[in-house]
Amino acid sequence: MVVWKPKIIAFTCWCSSSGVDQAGFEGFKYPANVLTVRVPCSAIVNPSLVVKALQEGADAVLLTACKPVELRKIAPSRITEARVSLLRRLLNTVGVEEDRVRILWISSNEGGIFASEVSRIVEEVEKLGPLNLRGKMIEQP
Amino acid sequence: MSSPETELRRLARSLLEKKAVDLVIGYEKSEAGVRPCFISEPNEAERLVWNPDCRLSLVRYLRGFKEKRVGIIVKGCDGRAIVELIKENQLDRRSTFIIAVECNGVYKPVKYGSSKLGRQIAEYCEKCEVRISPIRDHLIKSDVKALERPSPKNDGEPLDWLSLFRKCLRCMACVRSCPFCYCTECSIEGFKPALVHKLVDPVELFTFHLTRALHMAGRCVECGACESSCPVEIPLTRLYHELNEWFREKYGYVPGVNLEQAPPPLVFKEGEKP
Amino acid sequence: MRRTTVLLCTCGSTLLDKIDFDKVRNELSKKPLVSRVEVVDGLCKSSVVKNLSLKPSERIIVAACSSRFLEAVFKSLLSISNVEFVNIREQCAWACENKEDASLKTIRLLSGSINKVVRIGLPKSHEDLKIVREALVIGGGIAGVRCALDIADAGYRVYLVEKEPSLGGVMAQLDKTFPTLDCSICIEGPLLSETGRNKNIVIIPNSEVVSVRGMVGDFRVLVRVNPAYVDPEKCNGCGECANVCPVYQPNKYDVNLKPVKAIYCPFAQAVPLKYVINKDYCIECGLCMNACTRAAINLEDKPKMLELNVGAIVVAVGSDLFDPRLKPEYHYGEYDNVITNMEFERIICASGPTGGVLLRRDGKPAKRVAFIQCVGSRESGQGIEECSYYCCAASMKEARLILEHDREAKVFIFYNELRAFGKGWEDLLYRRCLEDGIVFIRSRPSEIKRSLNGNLIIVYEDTLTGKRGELEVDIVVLALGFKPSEKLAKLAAALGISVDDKGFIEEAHAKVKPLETRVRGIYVAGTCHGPRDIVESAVEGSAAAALVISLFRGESIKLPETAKILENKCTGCGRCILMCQYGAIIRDGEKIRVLESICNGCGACVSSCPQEAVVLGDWGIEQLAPQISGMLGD
Repeated sequence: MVVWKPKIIAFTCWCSSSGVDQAGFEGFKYPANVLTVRVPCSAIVNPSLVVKALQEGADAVLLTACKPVELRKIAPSRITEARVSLLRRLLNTVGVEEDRVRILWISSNEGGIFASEVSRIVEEVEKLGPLNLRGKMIEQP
Repeated sequence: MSSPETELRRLARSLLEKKAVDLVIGYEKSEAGVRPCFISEPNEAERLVWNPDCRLSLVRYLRGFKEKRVGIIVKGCDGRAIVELIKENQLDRRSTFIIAVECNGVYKPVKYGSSKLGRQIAEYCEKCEVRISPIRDHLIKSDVKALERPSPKNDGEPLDWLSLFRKCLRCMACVRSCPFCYCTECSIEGFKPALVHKLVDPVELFTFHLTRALHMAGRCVECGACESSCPVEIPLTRLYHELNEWFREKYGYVPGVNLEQAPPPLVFKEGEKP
Repeated sequence: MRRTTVLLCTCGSTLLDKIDFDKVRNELSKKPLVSRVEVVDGLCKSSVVKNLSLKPSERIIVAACSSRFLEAVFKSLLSISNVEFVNIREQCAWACENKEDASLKTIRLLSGSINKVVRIGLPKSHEDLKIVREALVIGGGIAGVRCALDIADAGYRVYLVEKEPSLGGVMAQLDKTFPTLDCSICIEGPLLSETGRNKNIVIIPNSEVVSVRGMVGDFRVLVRVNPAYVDPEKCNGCGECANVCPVYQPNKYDVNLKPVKAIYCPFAQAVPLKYVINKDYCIECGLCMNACTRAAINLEDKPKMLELNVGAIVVAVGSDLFDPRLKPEYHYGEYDNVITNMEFERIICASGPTGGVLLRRDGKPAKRVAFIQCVGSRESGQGIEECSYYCCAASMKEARLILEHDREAKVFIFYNELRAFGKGWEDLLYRRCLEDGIVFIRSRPSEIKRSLNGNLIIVYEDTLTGKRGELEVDIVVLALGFKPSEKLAKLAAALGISVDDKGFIEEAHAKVKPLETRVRGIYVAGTCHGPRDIVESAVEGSAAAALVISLFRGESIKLPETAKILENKCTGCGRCILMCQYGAIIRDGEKIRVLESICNGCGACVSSCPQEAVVLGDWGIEQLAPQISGMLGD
């Protein structure tokens, strides 16, 4: 029997991507089904892409971004923060657990935090179970 | 006092006679109830009607007459749509003569084969708080009491949205009827095949509807044009209302009620909790 | 069809036991989009990459480490735009528990990139920019003068715009400088004349910047030259005109303490040494016109507009000082003998109104002088909250100047904390102050009163001992804090740069880009971005010059990837404008435009547009959606 493991897409901005690099460099392990998509800034991620990822079979989507306080006055990651909040509201409304979409604040030097947070999130998503949108949308009741 | 319909016809005639406008967009009688009509001659003004079947927003047609001075008949929600479209730089206030008619709610559409008796007020009208357009050049008051409005009830049981989406035929009626859908290349109509492909994969209906909801969030004026024109009766207004509530909670922003209030930039200020 | 090549790097033997490269190769070769898969060692070496004989038309996926060198290696060898980099070392092999997991993850990551790479390589948003190798320096204080000289010495033309008739700024008004008490104009004067002589520097006095268009490398600056009523080409600074002029006016240079004629030159060392007329006082009697042998005077002079084309701009406009009238408890403007530290500098200066003798306004010599620190700084509500940095040292210097003039004088300094920590400030200033018997009292006095004989009485509480006291003195000098000048916000708006919450110019990054602004090619130096002393202003002038020079030494300017509007799609709804936190997107008539010199390439606009009429690099839905699908596919 194949054991189900959640598939997770993580959009990583350039700064936090370098944090993800650091996690590997320092030998922190985290589940292999966390797949990273590197983007210049978390704010460039269209919310529709998060929806698309869930549709395509991701059990959860993470957006890792720079802490707004570290960016001082101008912080595009605040946009990401607001969008994630809006997305969670939308998912909640249509009956998808909102915890499947999250924002994680990861700086360039927080590889350890990335590894531990991601492992924790994978455990939580395991408890939620598979999203299986395809099944839900296609199977007739 | 004359009925709103009489007043409306008189106003339209006079506007056209004085050449204050080049045409008036309103409703006329049709077999199924009412349909939009475009009047440019004063004596055609008699065709105009006003009744609770005038549910579909006419605002969408304004974009087709950008070079003309247009009189348009609007309900509260339609007026809000105009406000929002002015903010989005899509309409010129100066070339639009807004005839606001006090609205007491509209009927749900009669579906093919169903009875015309015992008409019900639309669900989104029950929630409506703006019965008169916040922006107007002329106001026509209602002569009857408001239609029987059931007291706004809770949304009741949560809907099974995934099953509702599954019914969707992708006929695009929601997009075609919406005053806000003016993109030149609609993302969910096949112009972005990577997102929503034209070939029907049912699971894509999830992305289809959520993308549209995201595009409507904070803009939708809940006029109900989409769900009234939906052949499979997906209550889309309710979904968009939920996202509008998010904007109201986080930013105190309600689309279309205030021309001066700019749409909120989608950010949280320091200290605000998402 | 264009070929897609996947290059897998084994990183020496590092990744061999972490990833099953045979399995990866087999899996990827099955994909219809892939034409070849190569497993090689050392993609970070140019020689290795050269041997692969890649063609510019190929789409390439580089699966290797996170090294940023890789990009440079590939970009320099081939002018390919279709390259995707996948980190299979740090983000895959080293993060996975076992070889099987890592191999599967490698396949997933690469499947995503294979899907993406066929959709990238859009034409880049802009060409490299040409550079106009001339600079504009706004402000002729010490920062601006130092900067202009350094740029000019490197061989580039500099326009130096100054609002006053002469260069010099605040430093020219000071008597002595701390900590060494050397004469201020004696050290600034030579720099000013050098600036005047320098063939590469064009000084434009009596003028201000009105508007700026364009971007780094090619700014168009509109400068308003206010009328001087004297033709600078003809005036030789002889001063005959002022001799005959019947009208006096207060001289701004002497903080209005000493009168000059309505046709005047602000000070003897002025550069340029040209006379100007203050039309607020001139009665147009025409005597000066008769006196001038060179017919330089034109009372009909009008403001002129000048357009400059420059590649870089340095803002060094300085700032104002706090207005002490806002603190009514000190009765400045009401009690004659309460003066500001700038007034003190002029009074104690040998060329000042009293010839350098410290007198009370009633003419009696001042024997007892007190300084009150932090007037308009370090308190919320009025002035600025932060320390004004220069004033502790300045007041100690001024205290010592008093004793140099008059050994018998008694000097008191009311301070909050002595924050004087620069080079030589301890031994040359503080210790000598103590040796000279200057009294330091830790207190922010609550009030200044005036006794019947005109003496001032300072009411204070010593916060070290807790004792209250009253101190009778002849003169009180208020050490004023910095305040952003009133015109600064307007100038900043014209330049497109931002100001911080206190009103000073905001740096691109306070720590690592301290002299850059949010607009590329516009730099800042001196007190217009916060309190500074002379040394730091001069340092910043030179440093800003170095930035300008290094910009000019380049062949062209490579901007980072910026957003681009697809005009045929754009409906002009303005959601991108709302979303851009940098203010880099503006409405320009009917169109929406990206200001490339401000855009930071975050892409918030791209994701805010419902139909992606804004694009930036390869990060749109068209690229990322297939990538995600590829990663998640079976």
